[in-house]
Amino acid sequence: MESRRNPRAVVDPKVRQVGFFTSSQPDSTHQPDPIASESHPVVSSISPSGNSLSPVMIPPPRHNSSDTFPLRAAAASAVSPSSFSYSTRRDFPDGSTTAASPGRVSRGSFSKPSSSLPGVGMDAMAAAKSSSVPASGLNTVSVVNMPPEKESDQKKNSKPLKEKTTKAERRALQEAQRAAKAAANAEGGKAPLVSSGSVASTNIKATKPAKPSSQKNDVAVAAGPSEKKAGGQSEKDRKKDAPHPRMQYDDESRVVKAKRRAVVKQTEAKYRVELFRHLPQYEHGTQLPDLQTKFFQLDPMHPAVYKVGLQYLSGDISGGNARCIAMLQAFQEVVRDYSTPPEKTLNRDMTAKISSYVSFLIECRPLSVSMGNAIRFVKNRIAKLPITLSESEAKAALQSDIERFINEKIITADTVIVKHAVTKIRDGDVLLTYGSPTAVEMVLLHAHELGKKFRVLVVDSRPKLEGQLLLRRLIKRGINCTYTHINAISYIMHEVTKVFLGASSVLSNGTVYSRVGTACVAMVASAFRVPVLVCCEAYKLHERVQLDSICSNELGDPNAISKVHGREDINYLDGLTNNANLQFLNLMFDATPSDYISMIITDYGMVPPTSVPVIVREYQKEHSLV
Amino acid sequence: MGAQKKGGARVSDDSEEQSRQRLQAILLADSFTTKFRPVTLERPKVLLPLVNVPMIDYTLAWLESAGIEEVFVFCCAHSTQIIDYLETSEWRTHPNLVVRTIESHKSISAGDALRYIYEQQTETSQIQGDFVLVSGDTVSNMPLADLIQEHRERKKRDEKAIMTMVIKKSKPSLITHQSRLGTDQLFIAVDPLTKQLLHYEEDKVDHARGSVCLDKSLMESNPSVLLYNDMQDCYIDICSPEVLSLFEDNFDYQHLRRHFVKGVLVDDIMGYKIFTHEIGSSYAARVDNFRSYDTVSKDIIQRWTYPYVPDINFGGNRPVKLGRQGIYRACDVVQSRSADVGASTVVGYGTKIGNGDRILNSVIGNGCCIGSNVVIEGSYIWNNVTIEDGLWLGGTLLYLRIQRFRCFSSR
Repeated sequence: MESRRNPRAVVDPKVRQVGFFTSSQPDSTHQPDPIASESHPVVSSISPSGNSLSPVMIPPPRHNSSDTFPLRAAAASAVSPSSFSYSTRRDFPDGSTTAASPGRVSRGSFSKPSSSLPGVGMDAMAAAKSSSVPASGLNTVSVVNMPPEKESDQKKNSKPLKEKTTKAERRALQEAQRAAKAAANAEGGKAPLVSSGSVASTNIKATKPAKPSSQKNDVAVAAGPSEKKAGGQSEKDRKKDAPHPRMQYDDESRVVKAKRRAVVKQTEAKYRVELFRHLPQYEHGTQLPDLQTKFFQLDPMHPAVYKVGLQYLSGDISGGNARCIAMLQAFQEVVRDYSTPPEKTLNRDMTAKISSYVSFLIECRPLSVSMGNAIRFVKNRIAKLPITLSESEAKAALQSDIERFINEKIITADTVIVKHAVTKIRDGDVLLTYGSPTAVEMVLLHAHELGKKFRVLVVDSRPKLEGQLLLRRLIKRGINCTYTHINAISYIMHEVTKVFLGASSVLSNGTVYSRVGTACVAMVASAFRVPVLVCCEAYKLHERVQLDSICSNELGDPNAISKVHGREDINYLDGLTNNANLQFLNLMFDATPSDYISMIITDYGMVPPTSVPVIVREYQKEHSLV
Repeated sequence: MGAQKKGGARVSDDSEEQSRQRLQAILLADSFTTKFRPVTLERPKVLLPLVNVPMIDYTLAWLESAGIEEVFVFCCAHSTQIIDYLETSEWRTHPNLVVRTIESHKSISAGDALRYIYEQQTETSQIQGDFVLVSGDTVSNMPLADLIQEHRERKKRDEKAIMTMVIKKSKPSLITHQSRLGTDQLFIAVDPLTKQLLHYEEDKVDHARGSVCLDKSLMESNPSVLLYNDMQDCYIDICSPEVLSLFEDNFDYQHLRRHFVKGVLVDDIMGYKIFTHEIGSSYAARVDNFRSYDTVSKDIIQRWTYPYVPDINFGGNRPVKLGRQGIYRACDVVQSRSADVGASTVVGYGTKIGNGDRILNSVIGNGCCIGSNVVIEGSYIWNNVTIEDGLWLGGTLLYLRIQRFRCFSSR
């Protein structure tokens, strides 16, 4: 710990170290530093929710499985003796998919493909290298996963170039294989094809969010082998070259592919703002009934996950903490109902399963940073389960781990934040808050319970008007409130003595990534010399650095901003949604530069925004030690 | 009967003539209740100041802006005071609104008042067509033109549609089971398509058992019935002339709702119908009791009744200046440096505020003199009150506040 810190302090200036130090330094200086190496990839992997193909996921299984692989292959071949070529890739579901035996399309059999993913990837590498891949339902998976293997096999030299070529190759290969598969499956009956397609899609997507965690696993679990180190390094380099690990939605071919695989059939909005074309934007409200009817067909999806996904989709659950808790509780149920399929190990199978669920959740709504961190934690725990544990023990351990994460990182964290923040509220204060941040709400309520005399200004904005909910709850408790919209912010800021804001995440350059409008509030406040305090649980901090809110963001329902609820008389934009000359932009988040933030209140204390990287570092360390 | 015929004939006269009719209103400048009793013993209710402006000014200003051209103010109790006030106010010479007063000391109810007006009308033929019936304590900013038009068209289609009642979703208060305005819970049944009023229950709602009796025939005759218990009756009615003749025919009708509306709903011989109109964003409320006095005052201070707010000139009031946090202060207020005037407060002209005073959520009238170290919270102090040093005013009940006012004013 100490040893690691010292070199850091020496090598890098405090702020900049975050972005760059991670990418270049640690491998050369200190090899066995799990945290440092683990943190880089994430820096560049703009978000765990990113849609880019994540090669990162594969290495751990490869290393881990390198010994077990032959065994598995044998087992797989035993299962599906019909085709030995498949067995190399352990695409056991081949049997079920191509054999067109709907009877076998049961939960168990379907969970297999997804769970076997990491293994598949690494096996596939071998197969794909020969590039004589037989048609199978899971070809896409294997191909997608292949390039990372390739790269990690090849040494780190001339990475950028290689990257590009592999991407192109991969695409070409994939196309070819899809064609082959289609041909092969043409006689194989429609139903199996479709289902296998959807499964494959989830698998592929799953790899993306999984990347940070798997990396961590990779490094943390098997810190010993030096070959791993090399693998990790190459990944890092590659990552540095690829600036957008998120899927770019303006890349048409990829979008088409992703769509083909997606479980949630979202229709893309027709007219989109040019600058934000790289973000997914869907026609809202169309997919929900469709997905509901699909409930009984999506066999591999655990009902709890399914429910949470639908709630995300419909907007019933929103807010970083609520979404994260809902997801973790769903995962708890998943773990509870889990049973290791034959000829598999719990660690890998469950990781893959979780990945597939995560990909489903992403399809419903892009992950928040908090969720990404939580997923990383869960996967880390799974990967670190001792093999000696029995299945029931492992499950119990996992469930309690998740429970503890919820309690420690979210619930207790909030109470600690409240304790810290309350000290900043004095009698006669006029506090301004924006939107409906849960942490701030708790702070206000607690301060009120303590008998502090203060007034709250709730600033809100269309179209969500979340502030009204907060207002309702505050008024019920007898807090004196004023409600206004964000367009009055400069008028109302005169009266304010402190601004309390929530955050979706705080990035390591101190940028606060939060509900759209937050930046505006913070800037006006700092122009009026009003301190801006951001309440944010530490698990929402992220190593990523982001300078604007364009490259990574979320687009909401475009219709929401054109419609004014309850005022039919002023809905002037009705029927203009399909006008080519008009694009609606409903951004969900924005990035507030750290200059406008006076203080960030986390469960680790009150820190200036420049100290976020410190917490990120320490937190991650603790995280991996848990 | 003859009167009714006359009304019918007039309606059928000519639609063009009807549209050219002057928009008229009857304003009952007496609530015929004793709810404001200790105060109303010496002053008419409609002249009580509501945020330093007599209530009747709010009603007249609203009627004027809503396009009403002629108002008949019916005065009963303290009629001379009302007439004097109207004579001296700018309503007497208002270009768009003709205010006529009708004086009767014999009336003891709204029914009597309308009968009296009807008798007057047969002599001078004053009420020409559809009219708006309001009470002199109504605060509203709703537009009336469309509503009257709607009423007229409905009347043209259906002779029997004689009245349109304005209702508004009420905000229930959390503490009491009454509405914010302190009125009893209202239970009404409405046909969702035609908006026809089918049932109106104000008093007999059995709170203990939480049950309401509906006539079975209601269900038989209507395909669908919408039941509300979260509505508030604004006591703003668009009436056809038949309403007056109905009152004349049924001389036992006293109360507008309890007798007249119920009578019309029960009576299936004449087959008259009452319709409802729900208003959404605009404001309408009646100052019926002390609680609604408090509520409506706060609504005015918080500007729900815009443009009838203290900083805008209407009906001859002197506008006061609006500061941050809803502090309205007249320009000539003498305020000590150490005095703290907090949010949602109105301070009238010529008022002196002494050292160390704290004033919050209160209305202070014109010409008041407040001593040192006085704390005033949530109180209403009318004109020309002297408050001595060191008093603490923070009643929870408006009634008590008024009592205080009385004892201070007598000091």
